[in-house]
Amino acid sequence: MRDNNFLGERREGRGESVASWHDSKSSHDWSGSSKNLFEILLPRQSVNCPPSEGVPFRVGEEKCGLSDNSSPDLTATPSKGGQSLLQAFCVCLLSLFFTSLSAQTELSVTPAYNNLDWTTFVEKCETELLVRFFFVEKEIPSEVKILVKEEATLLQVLNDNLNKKGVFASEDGKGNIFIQSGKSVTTSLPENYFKSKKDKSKSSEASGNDNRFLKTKKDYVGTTQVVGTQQKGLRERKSTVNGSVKDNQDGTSIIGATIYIEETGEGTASDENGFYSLILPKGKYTLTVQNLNHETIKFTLQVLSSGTLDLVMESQQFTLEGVVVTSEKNDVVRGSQMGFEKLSTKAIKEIPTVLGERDILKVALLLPGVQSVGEGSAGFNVRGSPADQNIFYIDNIPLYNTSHLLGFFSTFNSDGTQDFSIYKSNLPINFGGRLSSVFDITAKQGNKNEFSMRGGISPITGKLLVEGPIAKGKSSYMVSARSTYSDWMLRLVNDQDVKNSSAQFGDGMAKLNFDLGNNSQFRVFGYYSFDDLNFANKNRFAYQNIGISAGYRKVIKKKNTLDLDVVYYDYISRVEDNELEVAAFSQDNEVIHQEVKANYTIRPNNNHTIKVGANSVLYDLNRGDLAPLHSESFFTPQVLGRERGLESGVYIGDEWDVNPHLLVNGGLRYNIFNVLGGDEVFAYEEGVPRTQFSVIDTFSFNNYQVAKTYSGLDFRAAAKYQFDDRKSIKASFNRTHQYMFLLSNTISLSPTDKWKLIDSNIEPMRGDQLSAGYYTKLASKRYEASIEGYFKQVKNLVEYRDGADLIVAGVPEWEVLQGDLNAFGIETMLKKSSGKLSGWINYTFSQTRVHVDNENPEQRINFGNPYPSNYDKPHSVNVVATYSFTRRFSLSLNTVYATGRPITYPAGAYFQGDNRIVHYSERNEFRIPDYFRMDISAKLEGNLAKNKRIHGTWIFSIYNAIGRKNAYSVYFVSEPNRIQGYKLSVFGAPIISATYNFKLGHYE
Amino acid sequence: MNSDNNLRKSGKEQNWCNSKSSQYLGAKLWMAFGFLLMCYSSCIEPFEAEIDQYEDLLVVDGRISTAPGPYEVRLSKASSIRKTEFLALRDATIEIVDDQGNSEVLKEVEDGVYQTDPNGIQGTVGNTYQLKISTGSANYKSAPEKLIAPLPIKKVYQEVSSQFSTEDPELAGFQFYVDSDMTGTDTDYFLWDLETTYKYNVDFEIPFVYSGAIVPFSRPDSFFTCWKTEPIKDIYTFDISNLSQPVLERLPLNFVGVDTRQLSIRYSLFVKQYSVSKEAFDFWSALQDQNDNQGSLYSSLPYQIRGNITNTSNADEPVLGYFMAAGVSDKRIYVDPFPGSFSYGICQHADPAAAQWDIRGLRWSRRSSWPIFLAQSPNGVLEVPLDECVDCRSVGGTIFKPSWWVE
Repeated sequence: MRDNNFLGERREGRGESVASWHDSKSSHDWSGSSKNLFEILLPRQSVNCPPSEGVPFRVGEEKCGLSDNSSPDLTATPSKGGQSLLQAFCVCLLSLFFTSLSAQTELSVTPAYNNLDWTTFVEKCETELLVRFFFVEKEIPSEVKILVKEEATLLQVLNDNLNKKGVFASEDGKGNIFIQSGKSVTTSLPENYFKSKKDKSKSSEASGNDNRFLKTKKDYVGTTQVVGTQQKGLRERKSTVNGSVKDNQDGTSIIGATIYIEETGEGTASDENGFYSLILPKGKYTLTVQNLNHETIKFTLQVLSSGTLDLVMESQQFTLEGVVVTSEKNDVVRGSQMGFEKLSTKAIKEIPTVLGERDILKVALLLPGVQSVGEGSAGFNVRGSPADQNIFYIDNIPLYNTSHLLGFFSTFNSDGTQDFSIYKSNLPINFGGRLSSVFDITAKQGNKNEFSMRGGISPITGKLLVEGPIAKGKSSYMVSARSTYSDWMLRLVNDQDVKNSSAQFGDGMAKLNFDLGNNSQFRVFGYYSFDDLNFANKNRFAYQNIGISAGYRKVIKKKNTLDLDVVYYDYISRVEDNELEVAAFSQDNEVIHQEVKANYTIRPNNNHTIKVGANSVLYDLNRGDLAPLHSESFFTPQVLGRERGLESGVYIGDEWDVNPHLLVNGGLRYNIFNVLGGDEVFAYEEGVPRTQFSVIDTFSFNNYQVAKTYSGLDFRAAAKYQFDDRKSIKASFNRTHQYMFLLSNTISLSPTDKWKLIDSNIEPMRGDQLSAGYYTKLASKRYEASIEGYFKQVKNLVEYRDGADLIVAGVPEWEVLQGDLNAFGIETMLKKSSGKLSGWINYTFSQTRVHVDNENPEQRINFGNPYPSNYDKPHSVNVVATYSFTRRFSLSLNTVYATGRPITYPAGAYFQGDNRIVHYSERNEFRIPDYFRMDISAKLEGNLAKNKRIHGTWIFSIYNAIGRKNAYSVYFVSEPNRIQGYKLSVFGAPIISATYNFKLGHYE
Repeated sequence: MNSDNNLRKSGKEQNWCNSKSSQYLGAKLWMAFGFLLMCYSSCIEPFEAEIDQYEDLLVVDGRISTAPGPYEVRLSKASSIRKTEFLALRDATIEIVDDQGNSEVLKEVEDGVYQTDPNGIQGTVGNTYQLKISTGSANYKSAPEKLIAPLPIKKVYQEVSSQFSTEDPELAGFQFYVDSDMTGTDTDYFLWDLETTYKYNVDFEIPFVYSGAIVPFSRPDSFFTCWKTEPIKDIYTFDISNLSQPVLERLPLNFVGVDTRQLSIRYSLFVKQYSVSKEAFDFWSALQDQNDNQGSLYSSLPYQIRGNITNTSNADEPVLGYFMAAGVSDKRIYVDPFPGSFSYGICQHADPAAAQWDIRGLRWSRRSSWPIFLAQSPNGVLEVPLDECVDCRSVGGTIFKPSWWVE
């Protein structure tokens, strides 16, 4: 067998955990040779984790005495049948989870263990002492009773009781107890052991009984894994193989891992619970399992009958080949979703950012189809949609403001986030309420097994994260916090106003996970962020995001999943204006989002994944309380009132594998939006602009009384046709509705923008998107290439009357105009995710046009002609490249090019009195100069020693390395003797920064 | 020194600092952080846009007020942005009519400038005024506007202040404010027009002149002291509808920095306060906003600001400008020299050798440039100075003291 490679790897001190679970047959096979126990003697580092690397899966049917909670995830339930089956065979490797703690302390047994029969004793030890027994059943005399007269070490007790029967016990210091007749087991291996066993291994593979994996330098080459029994298989024509995919480190379910069968060209991906299911004729197959940031595993699967096969994937450690930078679900060809990007926090470590603040959302801007108005501005424009058509969820909590410091940074502390997904088209049916995209961010789940801490320091922030078990192996916590101390920079500026200013921001999150047993899980997540920006005590802007979500998940029959979630979210913002004392005022706004949702995912068979569910959101908005700021102000208090709405949806969707090549996905979602009372509603004369003069009637509604109801049917339809494992085409068409928007007529999102629900006078927006793409892998699958095109149309887009003042807008419908948005684009992407050089290049061609026309000239924008949106950038190229020189040192480079955004240029000048007035005409007719930027960063990892206390990483970065003064905007000012154009650049020089991050424990 | 240039600078700085909309908050904070990010002086730089096209639109600019006539209406065409000029529209017929049956046809006194007779129509509180224009090819009219009673200005005053600017991080100077009591007002909307006059000296007297030969100048201080009057080319507006008491305090007006000679001897600010209609306010505050608010991250898109003039037969034709009827009151204040140091440029005496060369060169000067003023350094060396060092008129002032000037 090829184990010498395997061993060689391990001996390099990689510290990987290596252990093996044996199916009954193989156990039987080598039970005769006691030395074969070597398999389980290999040291483990992360002792509490399911076996990894060596054996990335377990065969459920054959699992020996694995208790339910042997895995941190609730999915690993061995069947009763499996247990009885194992009794029939003579070798049983009873086991239980043990921890590093138990491995380090002296194991002792008390007289409470006295006079138990062998099986009971073993069970009791395994449960209470968290050790694992390995023995051959027939070698243990059946009549043996274990006597424990006084407290003694476990080994002592065992040897006292068993030695006289010719059976010996030994222990490896990690909680593994080996019982063997004849002599005690050596817990280390002869040097040349594997070599000598090579031939034998081959023969066992041929017989389909070997379940070990080998790792070669390039890839894992698995041996054969058997599922089911021949006897059971006699009754089946096709067999179902299902199971879970988990991470070896923390046992979390891996979502979206692709499992590909080479022989049939068929594949599947693990769902949001980490489950997969395959239906196959009996036979032998070659399977490849891949996922972002995990080592790819490859093995032969022999299907004898239906059965369970749990897969464990090893977290990608410091691979020799280089750093993985990947932007998509790891398999663009086989994955069913399109317009989808997934990034993990780990994968963005190297990418240079402003002031070294690692920011998951800013990296999103390097992906195709995601734009912003300009650097340093808040808001994302995905495929031509305005920024308010995106929603950001972090563990089900929607965040209505994701920017710190006016948009320079995002409110997501990258340490506390696991990964995030962006859906740019065909949003999953369980998401509703936004037209453009869903940014779904997963907060990091605490480590269930051991305490860990990490943190970092950058020029403007400090951050810390702690995590660890509450009850070992069952529940965990994660708490992270970040805060700024950037005011020192303000003090450096030689200006009194700036010196008197301050900018505070921070954020924190906490997550608790509980394994309730019985295949159910409970999770509570809390999020808080704040910004408090004060300019020279004249203006102040402060806001907070406060959210809590709780989720219950139960897995039914190992394949269906029930999710129940409740969310409470509160966005509070405050503006203070003290420019003019007599008119100084403050304005408070609030958005409360309360949501309940239920989702049931059913997998009736291998070919269908059906989602049914419902959700309901109660919105409660304070549109603004304006009050005098202090006693010197004569400002009249104004209460703009509260606004309420109830958005509810029911949905059903199905993903259907029609055949190995064709997959279709469809869904329907019925939305109802109730405009709820509490405010006065005006009725207007038809056909004239809505102003105070066209009000013909006023209605008032009681609190929560339904004032108006809108309903809409969303649908999703998508299909994928896969030619082979290298090529596929996909297409989708979907419709969504949106019931709230941001009152914003500034060029980019402003901190003073307020959310607004649709109401009796403003209709819901509706969006349709058609997209199609071709996906392929090139050059031995080292490169992924894709081209995707889309058409998008939005009806009832909310725009604003020229010169609308929305800051104190008492009656928004007087300012709002509704029109159409049309966008199309082609996104191309070439990506390389492995090797010393990794990264991506993408090019996007896109166009966005807004059209607001009406019979009334006052209700037109741009004279009723279509105009480009503020963020319309037809050509956009992003290059992200990382080169890893060694494991410890890598260099990264970003290059960004985009057409300058549209701008309205003067169409002439005129005089009023002595003032020169600039006259503007066609909206967004011209463009500012093109944008080009290069960033460089270098990452230096601390040493890679395995057993150290702290691992540190330095990141040095230069943002805008060439110092180009990219225009943020071009504008014209009337000066006493002329009209002067100016160009504003946000970053006019290279920005150099150093960041230090640390983590307790070794490198990861 | 070039006072025009200095004025322009301070005019621009106005944009960052005198604001009342909370939109500015973001802009300023954002700017502050922009500065931090190492582009302290280069965040904003002049930009030449290649715009030559312009729309050939009618522009109307006129007002009638409670101040005694004559009243002026100016008709022109919009010009190119690169070369803003008054493209007069001549030979139009312009008539002001009120709702009491009074009317007067204006007389074209200059190209594109039309005036009422000093003894003709007078703005009367409560009357509604309208402008009618016939250009020969089309007819235009303004929306009727009611003339609102003026209110007295309570106080105009200044405070020592400093300004946030891209050129000089802390430019000291006077910030002017206005207070008004609007009790009993008929309108919530006000705007202010400012005119400044200041007295200033140049650096050198003129002991000699050259007119073919160097001769002593009879009155060396002839062009030493001037007064300069100029309008502040900015618009100030305020809306009191959000105030519980119609009392306006500390509305910031202009800022005058120590980088010019304006505050060096005596400075006078003349403030005119107009009580205007909501429509006039909307027009002027939109212009103000659009001019001051561009270029920040949080500015709104600029757009075509329409006034109150329409083509009687084609309502879609864009016509620029406004004809306003307003009650007006005024107040003048004087300010003594700024109690601090100045940073304006001062003329230096030339190097004696260079001065000698210049004096010798006078013989080749053209006759048309005579007389040439000469200065003399303290040690008696004659020199040919720049005009703005010896002739206060060269920077736009007059040596005649305005009749109303109070020392």
